Amino acid sequence: MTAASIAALVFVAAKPVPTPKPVPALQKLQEAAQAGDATAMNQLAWRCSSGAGFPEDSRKAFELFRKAAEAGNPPAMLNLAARYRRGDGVPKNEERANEWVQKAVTSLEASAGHGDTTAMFALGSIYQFGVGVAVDQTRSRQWLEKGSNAGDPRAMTALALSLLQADKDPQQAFGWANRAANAGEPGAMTLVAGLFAAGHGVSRDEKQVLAWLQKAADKGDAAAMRLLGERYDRGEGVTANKVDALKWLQKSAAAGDAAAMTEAGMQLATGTGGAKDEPEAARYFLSAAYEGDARGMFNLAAALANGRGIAKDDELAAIWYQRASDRGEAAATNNLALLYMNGRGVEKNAAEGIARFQKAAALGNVEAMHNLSQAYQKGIGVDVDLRKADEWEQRARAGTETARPH
Amino acid sequence: MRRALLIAVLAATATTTVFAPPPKKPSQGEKPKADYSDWNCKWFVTCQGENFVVEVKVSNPKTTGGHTFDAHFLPGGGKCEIGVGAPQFRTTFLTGWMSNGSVSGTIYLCTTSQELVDKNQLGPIFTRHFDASYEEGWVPGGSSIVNAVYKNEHYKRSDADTKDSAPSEPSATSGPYQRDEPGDEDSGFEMHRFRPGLDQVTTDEPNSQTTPPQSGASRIKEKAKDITHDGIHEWMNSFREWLGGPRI
Repeated sequence: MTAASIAALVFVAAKPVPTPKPVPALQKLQEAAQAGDATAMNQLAWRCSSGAGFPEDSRKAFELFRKAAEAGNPPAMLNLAARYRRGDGVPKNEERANEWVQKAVTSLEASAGHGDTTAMFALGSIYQFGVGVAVDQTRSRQWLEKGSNAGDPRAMTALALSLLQADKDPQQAFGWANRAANAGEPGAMTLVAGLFAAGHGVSRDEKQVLAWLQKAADKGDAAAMRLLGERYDRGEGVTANKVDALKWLQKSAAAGDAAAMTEAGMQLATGTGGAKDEPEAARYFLSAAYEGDARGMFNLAAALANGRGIAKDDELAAIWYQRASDRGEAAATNNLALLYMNGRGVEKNAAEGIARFQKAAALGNVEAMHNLSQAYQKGIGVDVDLRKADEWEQRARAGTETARPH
Repeated sequence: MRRALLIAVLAATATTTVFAPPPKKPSQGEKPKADYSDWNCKWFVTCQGENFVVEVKVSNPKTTGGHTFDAHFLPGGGKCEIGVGAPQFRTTFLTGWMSNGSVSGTIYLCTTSQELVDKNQLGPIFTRHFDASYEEGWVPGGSSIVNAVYKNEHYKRSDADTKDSAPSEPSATSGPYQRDEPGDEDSGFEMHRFRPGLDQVTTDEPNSQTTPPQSGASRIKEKAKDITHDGIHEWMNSFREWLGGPRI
């Protein structure tokens, strides 16, 4: 995420622009799609589907996916199948969905039969994640083994992960990850670093951890950069250095790692590792939120609710709290409940507030438990019930007790 | 009235998010706060790369003048894992004296260098003098200890270690090792009143009361699970890129 795109996002948040004009790169994508390039049609369809750089138009997205699929593009076939299954841009049609999945699988199997390792990786992934088919890890592993034996580093990394997930033979998993890492696959380098750090499938070795993270970071792996930042922040395997920590987190954020955007924002918001810079922190939170990071959404909402580094806007705060809450961020659910209780950014609705306090409390949020106790004690949104008030207070205390150090 | 009061409290809490509101600076001529009763509660600390909760006790909180300021770990907390005889649990985090905006005293820290433990047979816990100032927040939970510093942990090698070392090493003496050397940097810590739901404690290790201690093997498995989870997320993104879609 470049500074320019971060600034653009700020602008979008402050003043939503319904139909942004395509930037030059998107213009080229549009031209390629119009010229009949199936890959470009498929990518453009995604953008039309999500409104990323183009007006959101599910019907147009469907048509583009259909054209690309009919041109023989397997990813487009799977995307088209998903639209038929969901009824997105087209009436629901399970039968057509299954047909297109079958066409995609047949096409990929044919390519794999001719030694196309990307097709092998794709088939392994389709069965791993159950894309239009039932999850079948045995079948997935068979395709990944074929791809790995044919020398595909992506397939090797995925195979290592599949073995680790199944808790099968960590040594073999390390072996595949190591082969992929030595073949220059950045994700495998980060995985190898993690296995060295945990001592899983290989003896623990801090020097190897740092060496592999550094290699992966040099290759542009955003996760490796974030992990390096976290290590400098905590002084794990290196001398703690908050300045270097922030530097790596910012690099990772620039490379697109959403969690790093949030962490960098947190450092800037608190002035850790550099000067306190709330506007810059808010920009990071905004970027992280747009990238789908729940903690980023929560922090952005908090910044909006408090006017910290960004113009105060309770309505937008409520929207982002809601999005973070939808992703299971209990603190966001609690804060959204407070907005409902106070009618800030949303219509005042004590019942909604109480329901959200209960949801947050069920997720272990201690503050929500305190708030429920208060509500029952004072009869806000619920009838006065001192027994329940006491119960929630006890649970809050017990919850606070669990928030203890090791 | 009660209802209005609660709403006011809730509104204040709603604004207490990741950003601690700016502490109120006492204006010229303003009387110092005479009641620190609300400081006697749980505080959130960041020190030596860990986040944890302590219980603060301020003596005679309703009187003016100085007060003792003590912070104790919660049961099961304060674990120091590196050093001879480790693990050991600290009961006290700080013990000090607060007056006129300043607080100073003794801080209890964990030894962190395994290499120097091996060479000098260091214990898991050591103490340092600390100096800090404090600010009183204008919203519940806003009070904080700021500008807190203590001497960083550095070492001179012991006799045993230097016997075979190059002559440039400090001359061998029969005295104990020294942790600090001239020019050592100061380290800091931060603490403020604990904000449940907002302040996240370090969770690398299990809670000693709620979860039985994990064996080394199960810790490795837990870490491996996290690595695998992150890796599979990356795998999914790699596959989404192949599908032509955005990363998630």
